[in-house]
Amino acid sequence: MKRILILLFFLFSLLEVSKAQSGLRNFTGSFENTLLLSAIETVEAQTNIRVFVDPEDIDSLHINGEFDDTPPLEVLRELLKGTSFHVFQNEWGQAVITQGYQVRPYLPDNFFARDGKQEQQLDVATFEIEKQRIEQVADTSLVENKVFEIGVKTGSITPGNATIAGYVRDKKTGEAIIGAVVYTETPTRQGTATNQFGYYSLPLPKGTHTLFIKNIGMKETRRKLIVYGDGILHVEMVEDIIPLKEVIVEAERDANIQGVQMGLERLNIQTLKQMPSALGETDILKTVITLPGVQTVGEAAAGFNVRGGSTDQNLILLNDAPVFNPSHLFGFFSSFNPDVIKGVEFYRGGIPARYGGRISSVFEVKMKDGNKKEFAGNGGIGPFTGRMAFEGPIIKDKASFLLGARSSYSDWLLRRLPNGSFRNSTGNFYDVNARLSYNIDEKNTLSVNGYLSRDNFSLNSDSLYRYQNNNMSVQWNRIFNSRLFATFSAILSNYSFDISSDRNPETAFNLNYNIAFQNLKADFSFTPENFSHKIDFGLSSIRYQLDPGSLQPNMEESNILPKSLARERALEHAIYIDDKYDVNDRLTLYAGLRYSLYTAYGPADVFTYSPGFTRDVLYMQDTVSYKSGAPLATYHGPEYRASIRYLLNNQSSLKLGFNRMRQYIHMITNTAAIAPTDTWKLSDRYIRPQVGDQLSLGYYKNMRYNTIEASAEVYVKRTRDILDYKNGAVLLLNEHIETDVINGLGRAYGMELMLKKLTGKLNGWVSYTYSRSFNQVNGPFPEEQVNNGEFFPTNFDKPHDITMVSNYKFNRRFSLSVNYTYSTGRPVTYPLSRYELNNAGRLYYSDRNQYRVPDYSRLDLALTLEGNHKIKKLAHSSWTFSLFNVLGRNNVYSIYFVSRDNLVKGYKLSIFARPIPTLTYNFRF
Amino acid sequence: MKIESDKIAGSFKLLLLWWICLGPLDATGQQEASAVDFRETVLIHHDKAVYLAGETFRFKVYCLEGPAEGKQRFSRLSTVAYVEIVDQEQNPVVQTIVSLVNGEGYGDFYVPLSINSGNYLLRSYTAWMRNFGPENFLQKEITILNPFMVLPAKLPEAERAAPGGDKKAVSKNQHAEIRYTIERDRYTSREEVNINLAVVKNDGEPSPARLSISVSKVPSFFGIESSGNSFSPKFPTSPPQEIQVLPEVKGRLLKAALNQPAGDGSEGRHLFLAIPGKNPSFFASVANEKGEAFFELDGVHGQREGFLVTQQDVSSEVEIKTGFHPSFAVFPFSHFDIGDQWRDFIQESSRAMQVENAYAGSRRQSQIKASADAVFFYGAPDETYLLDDYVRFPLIEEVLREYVYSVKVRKRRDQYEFRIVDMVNKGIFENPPLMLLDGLPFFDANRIIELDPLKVEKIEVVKRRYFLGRATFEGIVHFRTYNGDMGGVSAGSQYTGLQVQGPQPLKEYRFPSYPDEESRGSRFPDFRNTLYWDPMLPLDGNGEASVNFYTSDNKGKYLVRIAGIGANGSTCAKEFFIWVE
Repeated sequence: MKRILILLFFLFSLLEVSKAQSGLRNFTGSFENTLLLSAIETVEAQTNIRVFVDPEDIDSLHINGEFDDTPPLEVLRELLKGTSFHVFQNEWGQAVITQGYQVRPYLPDNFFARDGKQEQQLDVATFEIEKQRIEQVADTSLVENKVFEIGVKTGSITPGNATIAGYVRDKKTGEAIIGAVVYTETPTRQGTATNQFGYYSLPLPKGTHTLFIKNIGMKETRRKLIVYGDGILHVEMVEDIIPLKEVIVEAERDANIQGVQMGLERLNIQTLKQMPSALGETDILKTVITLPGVQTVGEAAAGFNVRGGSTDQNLILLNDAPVFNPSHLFGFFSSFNPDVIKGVEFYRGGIPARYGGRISSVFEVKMKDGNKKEFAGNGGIGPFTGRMAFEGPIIKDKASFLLGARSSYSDWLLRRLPNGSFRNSTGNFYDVNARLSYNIDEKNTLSVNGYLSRDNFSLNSDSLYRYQNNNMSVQWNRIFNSRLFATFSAILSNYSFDISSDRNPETAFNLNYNIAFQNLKADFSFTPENFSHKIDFGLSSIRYQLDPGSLQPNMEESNILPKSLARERALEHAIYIDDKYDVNDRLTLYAGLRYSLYTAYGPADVFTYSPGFTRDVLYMQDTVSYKSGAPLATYHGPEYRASIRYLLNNQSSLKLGFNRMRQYIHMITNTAAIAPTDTWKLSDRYIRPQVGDQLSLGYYKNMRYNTIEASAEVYVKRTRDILDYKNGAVLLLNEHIETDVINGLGRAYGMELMLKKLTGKLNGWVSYTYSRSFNQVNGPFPEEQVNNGEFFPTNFDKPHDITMVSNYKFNRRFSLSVNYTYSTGRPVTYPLSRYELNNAGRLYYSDRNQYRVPDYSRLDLALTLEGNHKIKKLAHSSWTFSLFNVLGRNNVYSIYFVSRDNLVKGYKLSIFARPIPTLTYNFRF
Repeated sequence: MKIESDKIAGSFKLLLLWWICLGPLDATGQQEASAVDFRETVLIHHDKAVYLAGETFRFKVYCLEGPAEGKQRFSRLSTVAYVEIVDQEQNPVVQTIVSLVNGEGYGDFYVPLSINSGNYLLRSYTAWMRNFGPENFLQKEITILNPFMVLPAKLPEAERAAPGGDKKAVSKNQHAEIRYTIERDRYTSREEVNINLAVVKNDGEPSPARLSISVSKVPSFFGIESSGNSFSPKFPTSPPQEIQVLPEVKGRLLKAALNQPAGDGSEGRHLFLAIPGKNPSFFASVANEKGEAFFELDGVHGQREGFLVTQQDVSSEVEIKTGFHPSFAVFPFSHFDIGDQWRDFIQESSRAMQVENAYAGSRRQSQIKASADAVFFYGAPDETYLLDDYVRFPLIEEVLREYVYSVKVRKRRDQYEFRIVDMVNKGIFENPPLMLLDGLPFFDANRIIELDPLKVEKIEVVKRRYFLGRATFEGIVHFRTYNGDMGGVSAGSQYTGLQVQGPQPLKEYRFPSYPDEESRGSRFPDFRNTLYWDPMLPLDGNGEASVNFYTSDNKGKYLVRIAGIGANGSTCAKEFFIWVE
């Protein structure tokens, strides 16, 4: 009976369909990569069927098929095979296409039987409809809005329970979450908790559910389910992050512990900018002086002394180009415009093999890249200088420029001073920085840098001094592959000064000095497959051309005799290779070798002196002329670099380093600081290269999650062939300078203790340095001896040095910086007694550097007030008020004695003898 | 003049009710209710005669006050109506709430696909009506058919209940009549239908009226009498014995009962109900001596997750009543008699329902009315800080210290505290402000400090002493996140989480129109079983209205039903058929 019924139903349905289909023709034709919509139109036209679909859903669907006398519904079914679309034909013969859901056109069998024999089964269609409804309203890219189908999907399901099970894990770590609660709210609250493996198992009535998963410390999550039967559902939970403290990801936070490098300081411009400054402008040189092991002979002195080395032993690089005179206006300002600088790397020990040419330190200043996204500018107005920098894209996201300029208006100020002698003085400078950076493609970047600075000054209308630095460098970075990286650079640097005087026509003159420096180099960085090695290698060639001076009368009345010194020429080549090798987790070795070859070449005339006598004009023997290109002196030698780092634990390490450096260019100076009239001299036949060895040992410890760094370093240095001068030496325009200089031996040792905190409201550092620096000049002849050939303290031997640099941020807008420096006074030579010779008072001086000026002590403070935090405003500005030498202490720069009218008077010279307040306005837009 | 006095009397009655019910909230609640004889009833017009699982059930609720014949009117008391579908075992299968505005409300729900075919009870009531017992609720039989499940077995002859329900004849109190004109009764697919309506009084004068109209498919064998729609009010016959449920005169009234032993000092305790989110709601109340607190959930729509918060850190058990009446009156279900004659109708309707569901995502027949951003309880804040306007800082503490000058942050040991700058008295308040995060109050500033400022869109500050109910706050600081998810800060254990069900958000029903050839030729399928539904059909000054809509591709017989309330609260209804061929 039942069978007959089913059959009847079946026939009835068929009949209905055929009845409805009457009037529809069959389709014959083929489609090849046809747009479904046009295929539908073709079928409609031929068969007379009406097709309903949302054209937007199928607008990019292409189909294929070949049909011969096929009913239209069959054609559509065939065309939609393999897509997410379904089709059915309704009672009016129309075809309806649905996406993601197959319409059940017929009622279940025995729908009307109502005899209790049919099981109450739920058609899966009900869940599919619910899934569609849920997903149509929500953003299903979120896992919480997706509907998960659990169990095997059969045509229909019987009501009842099914069990779902799975793991609850941490999304980030994959770790099992133990004790997470898994539950549903509807229709009844049913729940369980995960076991020690993070596994749960929960029986639920079949149908739709929302499963909630909760655990302490994790974000609550939920999953929408349609349960057809038993199944698996794994759940991933995300940690509930609570920002308890400021978290800034700093990759190099523990670099001082982990790195093999020692004696390195990296200062970014933010740190530099919050330092108080004497003249209201951020000065990176002055900041470096606050670091342990770095000293200066006094404020407003250009140049600095690193671990007992002289001022010319520092390699000061701006984008790889050496800067021969890093200061403006007697050292009141440094040559680096803070607005265009990214930061500074300062090496005072353990200098890597890629640097060479100076003994004591490397001071590498990097300019920042211009903004590649948008145009921006910044600037500042201080009491003595004004500065401005612009940056912006040339090709968006690819190329940019940066242009910065700074100028003093001290001339304008000087003219407003009441004192007449100042009014006749002049002193001004400007500098310009420019940088173009271009990301050529993923692997190549190019940058071109230019730097230009000019200084002019004349005191009380006396001689006019002018000096200038001109630098240019082109750098090309190339990634050959993921392991080999290279930088190719071409560098030009020029330094020149001239002094002229035309006040008195009889003595009017013009004196010129010039160094030209050209450098080509290639640096490679190679990471072998074995990641425990990192190899750097490269080569460099430098050509020097030095015009040691030419004196010309610059007025017709002038009686000055023209004098010109011969040009010096030299080549310096170097190759280097080094390897950093991580032996194990604790031990890292670094070994490097740099080999440098120096040749001074002609044309040149070299004097020879009688052997067995001191070099003096008196013993001058002969002149040897070298032809153009002929080598007149060659020096070469290896420079060893090595260091070992041993990690004691995660917070502390020990490092031992050794480096040997060779220096072929020397400053001829009779002052302790760098002065514009200092000349540089190349090594030649008589002036041997200086060779310095340094051995250092350091202990580094980080505390409080790497927020506080403590370090202790001890070092010993020995330098051969440093230059010293005979009494009465003539340094300027001396054709035979070798007769006035003597070679000496330098010795320095010291200990540096430092405690540094660079995060938090209060940051800064405190350092104590004990350091000694001695020279010994002990030639075979008495004229070549100083202090009887004993070691004597150098001009910059300041044994005790305490520095504190601190910055307290009251909030993000307002901060206070306080710096304090104490150091032992520098050595001086005093006259011991006065005597008369030929009726003239004379002074009898002590041995060199046997006395000291009073100790140095200075406290500075600076207040910085930033503008409000609004993002949209015309310009972001800040005010900096600084008070230099708050205590007003008369720190002695030098003590000198003048004999006048038969009286010997001693004078103390102080540079900033009273508090100097300045106010600076900075802005950026 | 008479009308005037009537109005005054009515108003007085209402005032009295207010006083009894809401004035002394801490009174026993079991009032001598006979003092007030105020009765309400509800009527429902729903769009279809028979529903399929998977279809949308659209309804209109009319709430009247009475009972005097001819003096009925739209109720001014209740603002919320409850609508339920209950199966024959008295299990609610659908529960929803709609707002009543001047006695009118409407909504819809989705007929669940998980239920069996059968006769179900549609019942509806207001909170006030609950005082009269479930037998005085609107109770109406609804037939639901699930095309995916075979029909349930027939009951044995003996167990069949006698045909029951409200098969009453149309009520006599028809003071108004609906007249309609229609060009014809047969249409083709996607054709415009125009119906002109007029409501007139017995004397033929135009009558003001509130109407609703539905046009939906019925089986071809349906006659007018089969539609089973009765539309006449049935008021309780006597005043309530006691008032146990307070009327909801200003949105849902939520009763929270603190389950604590008497005399524990819960009396007078401030309680807050917060519904955090993008559009948060915040309510304050004070517990009475029974430990009960009431919240008028004005402006809360839909199912929301809320928190009951007590200022004192006491995790007391709180019981929340849902608002749906728990007990049922005996209802004489009629015999579920669906036979083979229904096959065509069910099959056609099922196909149509499935197609409509499959296309539900791409077509919006109804839209939730865009309500303007609800104003939070304190209105416009004195200061608003949009964090995007400022430099972003990694800590909330810094944000406050750096530029939110009106909020002072203090820290004693590890405990943070906030104080607000008093705008009125130019000082700083002594006590902490009300601290809100996406509408949820926090009493421990350390919790707020944990918030990730990157997730915060704005901070609003009220710089005045603020009174809310009986609670006083020395200023308010409100942190609002982009997502309204409290930025991941969890509520904490002293907060009792609860589901708050408010009335449905109001929807605007939209139906396809085919004004031109192009739209008529569109491939977009349209197999609506309900051709048209307007729960708030506007009448013009002459008591006239014109309705126009388009037929769908779904051919068959359609019942047009117009129902409403005319002059003097009299009901009126009209039914007729049209055919789509």
